[in-house]
Amino acid sequence: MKKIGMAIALSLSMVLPAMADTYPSRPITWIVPFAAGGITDLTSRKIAEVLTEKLGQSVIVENKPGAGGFVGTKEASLAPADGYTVVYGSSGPLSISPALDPSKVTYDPVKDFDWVHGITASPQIIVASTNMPFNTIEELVDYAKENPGKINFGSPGNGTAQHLGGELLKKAAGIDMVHVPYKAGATQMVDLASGVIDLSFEYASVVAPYVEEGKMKVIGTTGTARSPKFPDAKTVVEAGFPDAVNVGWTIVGVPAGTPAEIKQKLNEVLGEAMADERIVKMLEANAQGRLENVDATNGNEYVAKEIEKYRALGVSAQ
Amino acid sequence: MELLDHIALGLSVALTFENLAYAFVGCLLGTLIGVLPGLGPLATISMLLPLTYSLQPEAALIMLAGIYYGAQYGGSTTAIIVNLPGESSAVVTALDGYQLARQGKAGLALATAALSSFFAGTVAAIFIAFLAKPLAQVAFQFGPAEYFAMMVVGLILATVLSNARMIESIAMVVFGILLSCIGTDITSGDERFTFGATKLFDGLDFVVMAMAVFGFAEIIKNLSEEDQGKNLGTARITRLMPRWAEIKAMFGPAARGTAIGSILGVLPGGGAAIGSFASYAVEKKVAKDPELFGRGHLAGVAGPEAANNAASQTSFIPLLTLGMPSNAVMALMVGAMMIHDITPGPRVMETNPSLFWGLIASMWVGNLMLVILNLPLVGIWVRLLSVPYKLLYPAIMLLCCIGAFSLKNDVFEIYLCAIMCLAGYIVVALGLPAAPLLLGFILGPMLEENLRRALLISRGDFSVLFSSWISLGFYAVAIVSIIAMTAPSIRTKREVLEE
Repeated sequence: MKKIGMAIALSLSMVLPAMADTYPSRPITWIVPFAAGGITDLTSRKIAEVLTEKLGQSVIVENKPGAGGFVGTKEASLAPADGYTVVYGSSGPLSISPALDPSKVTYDPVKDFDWVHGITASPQIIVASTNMPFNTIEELVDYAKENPGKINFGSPGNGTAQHLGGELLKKAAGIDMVHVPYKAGATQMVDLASGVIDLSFEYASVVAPYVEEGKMKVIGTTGTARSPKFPDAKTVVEAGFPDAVNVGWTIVGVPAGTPAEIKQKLNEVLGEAMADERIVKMLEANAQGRLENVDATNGNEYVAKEIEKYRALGVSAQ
Repeated sequence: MELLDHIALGLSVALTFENLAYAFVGCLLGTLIGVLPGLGPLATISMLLPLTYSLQPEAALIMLAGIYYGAQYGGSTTAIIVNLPGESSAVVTALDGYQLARQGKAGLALATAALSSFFAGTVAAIFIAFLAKPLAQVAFQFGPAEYFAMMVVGLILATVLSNARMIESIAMVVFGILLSCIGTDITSGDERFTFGATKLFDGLDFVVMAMAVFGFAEIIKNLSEEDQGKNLGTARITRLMPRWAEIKAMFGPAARGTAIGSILGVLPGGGAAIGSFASYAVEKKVAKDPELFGRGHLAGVAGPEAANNAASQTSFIPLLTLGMPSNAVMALMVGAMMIHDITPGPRVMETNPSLFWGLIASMWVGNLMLVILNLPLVGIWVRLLSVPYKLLYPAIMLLCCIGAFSLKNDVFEIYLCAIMCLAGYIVVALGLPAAPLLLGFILGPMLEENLRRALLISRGDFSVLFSSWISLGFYAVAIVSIIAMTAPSIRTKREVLEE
């Protein structure tokens, strides 16, 4: 064993200086801070597959779930800054939690990472129980003003992008609604379908089966553009509440201090991968948008701005 | 007819190649651990939970259920041939089964056990299918307040169903609830008992808890006892197929056993073992020749075997229709469902019809497999008894550590397993009941979550908890259970005083 260790150390010392030119010369680990089988995991695996082809080296997805993404993101921040560990970051652990509950976050989402390429950006669909009298965002706001504090909105947990979707609309429209947190998205949808809660801000792929069966109705979207899946639903911008725009996003990054050439290389291949037909089709099928115009030059700036946006909301995680 | 549609849906799920394969694996494993004394379905299911993460929920539950009722078959095999009941429910089978075997009728006893079990399994599956419909109609009236009331009943029953002293089971339930409080509070988002450790934010993993408390602790306890039952005289297996007259003789007891088992299985705290004891008692009463019981009476095998199999299947009814576990194995099933984000409860039938009906159909398919597995292959199972535990157990524990690691790709879970294993061993070694601990751990958070959600929606108005007939019904059951629980202890105390 010792001999092998020595051999590895020796070969590493020879490889390191020349690393940037030959990158990647060994498999890359792609950390997903969420459990296998979820949407972040599935998206990651598909992109990793395309990257493996483009880089000529295996990109291995490793799930490090726990504490809403904290565990995996923290782990990635501690990895060597050599480009062989990349992390699939997302708005929850990178912007919402650092803004709302900074004491829990043990890494700095801006200083500990170099973000290299934006991946997805998905607005939430605003869905309501069929018992509710309103059918559009404007009607919802009017109803909420007439009945302050009467409306309940569900979310898959405190400090999730879906929870913030509701909080942002509350603030932008000056209405009062009560947040009812759940442990998982599925239970929340079932409760909305049977009228236990009134409203929810959820992703298109989650609400679609219920909407198709007529168990809930779509009244709007938190995006800047209409959802291709529900083109009749107005955006919060159209309804006159541009401050209620809320998008759950994902971004790929490396630990801070990674050589610039490596970041440039990753930025390039990720750009190619995002244009790949397989990725385009997958995003369409999952009703996910893409995080455009975020790359190695402005990634950290984007994350910092998002943190500011949520901090300005002035809510703590209840 | 709607029922036929449902059964067709169920069969279409159960008969896919994948699900058939998992049913087979479940039945095989179930038979295996049924044969081996010491390792029960509880330990096995808890240790296999990590494996089910990557499976479809249907496949996962089909396999786990297969282990449970497969164990009933396996347990009776060794009970008959070597007088070594592999399962507590097979204790009764050993009484007459082994005597039959000694008279050279081992084949007949085995066939009786398997056929009665198959008969009971078939009837029980139909019974579940019929009962499902009326219960499903109540499902839509279930909100957080009703779930809360149901959890109150569940926690009270968790103490009733353990046969330990009441004070001990209450203590274990409370201990379980306390352990479940570790982690992020859903309603407020605050951390509880994590001491700032990020890895504890999600709380203790249910799988780790189950594996450590039921799996590891049980194994350590078994290892500390001496190997028993080795080198027992093995009866020779003779003619397997029963004669027509014998089939007729076993039909009555099997039918009665099925009825008794089906009813006792539905009742919380019931289950396979009680069913078989009750059936044996009944058969002894109705038989024309009660003096033959204990000396190799066919009815003494047919009745209890039918009862334990029927009960093990109907105990899925409260789980699938209400989400209420009636025993510790069913509590593990709740956990297995929650792993897949399925909230056990009356809505499962509506939201996951393929899971519900697929599981029921697979029970019947599984029973058929078990008959085939157990009768011709009986020799192989008996030979398994000669594998020394000192080889078997370390192998199992190694596999479990891999399972624990694979939960989150993190060695932390293995450490957690070790710590909980120690705690579990202390619990087992002190003779405290482990099942209420796990039930408290599972039901406690559901109780809290639903109570707080109900109050959040009602803006703090407590009367919402008593506003529906369903809730009131549950509270009534809770009160009756408390009275029933305290009454016998009052009685025994009085008896002690009188003496």
